[in-house]
Amino acid sequence: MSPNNAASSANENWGSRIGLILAMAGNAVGLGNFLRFPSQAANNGGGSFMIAYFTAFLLLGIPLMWVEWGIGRHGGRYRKGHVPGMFAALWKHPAAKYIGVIGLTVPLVVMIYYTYIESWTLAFTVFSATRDYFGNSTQESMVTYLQSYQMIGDSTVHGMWKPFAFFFVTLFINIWVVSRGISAGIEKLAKIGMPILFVFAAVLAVVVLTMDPLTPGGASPLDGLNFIYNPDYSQLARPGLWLAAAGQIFFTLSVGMGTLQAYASYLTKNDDIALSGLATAATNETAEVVLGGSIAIPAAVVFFGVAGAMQVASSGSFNIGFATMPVVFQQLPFGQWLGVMWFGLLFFAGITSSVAMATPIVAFFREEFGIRRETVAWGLGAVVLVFGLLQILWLQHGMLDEWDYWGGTFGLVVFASIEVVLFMWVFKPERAWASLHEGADIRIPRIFKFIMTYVTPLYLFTILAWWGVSDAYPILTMAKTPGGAVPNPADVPYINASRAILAAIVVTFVILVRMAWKRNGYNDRVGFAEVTQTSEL
Amino acid sequence: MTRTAIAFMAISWGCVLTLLVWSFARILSSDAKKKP
Repeated sequence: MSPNNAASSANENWGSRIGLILAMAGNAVGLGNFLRFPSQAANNGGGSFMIAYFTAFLLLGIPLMWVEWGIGRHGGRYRKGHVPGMFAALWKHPAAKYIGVIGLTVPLVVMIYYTYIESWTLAFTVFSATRDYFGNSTQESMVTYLQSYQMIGDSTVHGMWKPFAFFFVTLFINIWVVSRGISAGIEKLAKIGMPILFVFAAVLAVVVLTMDPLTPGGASPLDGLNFIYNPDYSQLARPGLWLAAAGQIFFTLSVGMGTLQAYASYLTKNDDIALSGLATAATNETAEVVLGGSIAIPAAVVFFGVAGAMQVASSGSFNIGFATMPVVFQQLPFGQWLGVMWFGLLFFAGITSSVAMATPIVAFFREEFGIRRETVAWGLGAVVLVFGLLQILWLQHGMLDEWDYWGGTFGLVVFASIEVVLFMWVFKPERAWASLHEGADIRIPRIFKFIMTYVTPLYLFTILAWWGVSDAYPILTMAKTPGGAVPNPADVPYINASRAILAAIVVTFVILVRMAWKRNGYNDRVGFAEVTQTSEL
Repeated sequence: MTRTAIAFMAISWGCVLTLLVWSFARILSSDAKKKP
């Protein structure tokens, strides 16, 4: 196969190992750590959820983390920072590159709606600093305030321009960071953003956990922790609990997205991935279990009692984050600055994840078409802007839920199932195991070879089959919405249009991959030429 | 908080914090060994 000329110009590196781990952890730590995890734990049997959660972490999360780092670094040997190229490097078959299109589609689709949600956190940081929502002291009035911003229902609270303006600014910051590259953009952002995130989260956790009950004998923050951790053993027999825990592990570790692979592709074959992958997972879990579980739910319990917090938790993660927490902050000294810290930490959690989603797409166009990084980044920004505007306008019609289900939920499990089979079965367990240990600072316990070869794929296929029957099919046939409700007939045209756009994105990437392979004269049966990797961490 | 809840919380926090401290300690020690 002819060497790819574009590849050499697309070569970049991480500046330091700590920078790499912070960027990887920044990719993993997202809104789900602080909003989704506590409500999932509280709604699914508390301590019992933690049993299923840690089981999924050991059997799914850590193995998939290593698989993705392994696939990424292997792709990097051929300067392939995108999944079609990585899959083609693992499996010398013409179908591999087309299967890999899922690794371009998922990050693009998720980036579009995730950047929009991220813009809410930036907006609410400003609204906290300016005390804009102060006065909305009940959950109901804050939900109205939030929905007005989302252009659902009463739109008189906020001007129409606000969601568009904050989305534009958020997207601009994202693309500016991406356009600066791996070391000068993404790594620098992680080195600034992650410490701020951890400090803000730690301060908020201390403030919440030291709050006094509002009335003598009233609920305390410890009642909130009790609500999260007290086990309901009867729930362990419920398959839904195990699926919820597995789903949370997927979302929190950012596996099945193509982003960890893209970051790992900038490592050399002598760089460690076994220990770095584990450190990344540990950092994410600390943010989630220790900090994420200690803020929103305990605060909600103090102000609304256990029954009220249960109601809030079951009404959705966004209501906790964007309605309940502002109600709480209004009652506390320095509430506006606590609000700035809360939404600021969510913003940093979001942006360190969304820039990762851009990385495989930028890598694809740079490496395969030789386009300059800045040009690709701003071009990608234009695409995200167009579809992001649609997300704003069609949020009330279910577009975000639809894309989140097919791209950010079901798509992740499909992607992970494919990659684990390719790495552990097609690439073969011995080669995969040896590849993971190249340059490794630790020996991975041998039991994980068995887990990664048999248990993880089986676990994934079980989830896939279960979700396929219980959710994917009824959602596809519009028997229900991703939220579980009966679809509103007025929304059906919007849902169909949202799906048509998703299908068009997949087809476009298939055509682009075909063009790239033809343009560069790749031979699927021969493989790629190895590139010289010099810079080690 | 019930004793069971405290136990579940302590085990959960203990597991992740141990993993965090152990992994970063190993990284620091292996990086120190690699330095010429």
